[in-house]
Amino acid sequence: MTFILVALVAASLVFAAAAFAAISTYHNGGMVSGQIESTCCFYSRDFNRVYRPGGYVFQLGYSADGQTISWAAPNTWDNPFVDQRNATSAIAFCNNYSSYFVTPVTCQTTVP
Amino acid sequence: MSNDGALGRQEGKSKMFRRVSERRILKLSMLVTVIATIGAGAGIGMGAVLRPEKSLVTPPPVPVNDIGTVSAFDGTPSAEERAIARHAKVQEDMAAITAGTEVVPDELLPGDRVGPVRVPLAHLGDADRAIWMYRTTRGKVCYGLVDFTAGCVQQLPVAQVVSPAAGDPGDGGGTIVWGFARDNVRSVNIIVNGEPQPAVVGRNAFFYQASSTAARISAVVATTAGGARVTLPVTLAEATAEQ
Repeated sequence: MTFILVALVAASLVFAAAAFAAISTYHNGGMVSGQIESTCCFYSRDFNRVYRPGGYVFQLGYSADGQTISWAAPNTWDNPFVDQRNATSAIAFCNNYSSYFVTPVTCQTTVP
Repeated sequence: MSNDGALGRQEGKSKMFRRVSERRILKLSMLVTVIATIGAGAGIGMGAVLRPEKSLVTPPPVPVNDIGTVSAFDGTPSAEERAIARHAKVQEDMAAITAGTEVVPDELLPGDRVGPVRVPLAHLGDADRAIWMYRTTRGKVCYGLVDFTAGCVQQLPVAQVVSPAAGDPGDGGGTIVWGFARDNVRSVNIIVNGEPQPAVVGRNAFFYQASSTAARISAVVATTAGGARVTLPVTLAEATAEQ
């Protein structure tokens, strides 16, 4: 009986963990116009997202080669704005594409 | 004598300590003055931007109003809506809105889901995508297009009736243009290569997928129940060199 309970708990933990890999915050604070923040490493990523006040254009992007950034379409009014497209091995980027200093801003992505 | 000497040394130390302290206070006050001057200058330079951390949220640069009634939530979900809402991919997309938000400032969080998930449009485009939508405890509407983009909205500029997102889906399919639509939107056209192309319109959502990513998409034209036509330019993302 105990074994079954332990197995069930373990299974539920595995299931919960399987929902997402760990979530990494790669920027938290204000961002000036044109400021681009990025992660350090080439990892598989489930999503890339930004929380910031609505009304300011932000872009999210990935770079698979370290040379070029493939940006998602700019977004102005969604908060958060989430790029759900997967990346196999990429650095994640977060860009304040607006003409304003914006605060607060939190940019996050997943890491394995 | 030795005591006097000791006292004298102590006094000497005290005087020295006072002199050192006074010098330190003087230096400190000068430093404070310099910092205050720089701070005031920066404050004047940056206007209202430098606010204390607690008055955090920057107000939008244009007048906005609430998105108003969202009829996508009327009635009860159909069996197909319920089935799509239970799909693992939709569950994962919805979790991406709220998972791991411990470090996000509270005023930016969308709130928890309240009520059922609705699916205003399904079986969309090359990859058979669906649009999901739900309300939150903070009065926002969160919505997403499976495997593309998602977000939560509460307000839009007063005259803006749609909130489009556009881009390459990254799966070999053509460019997607989709988004949230206010309740009074009746039809949506996408300007592709200079020509209007009809988008699929459901309750509070629209979707269009071009035949390739080479299509030149320039604008979304929404027509309201009152016959007004609202044109919104679409900016497509381009790859840029890393800086």
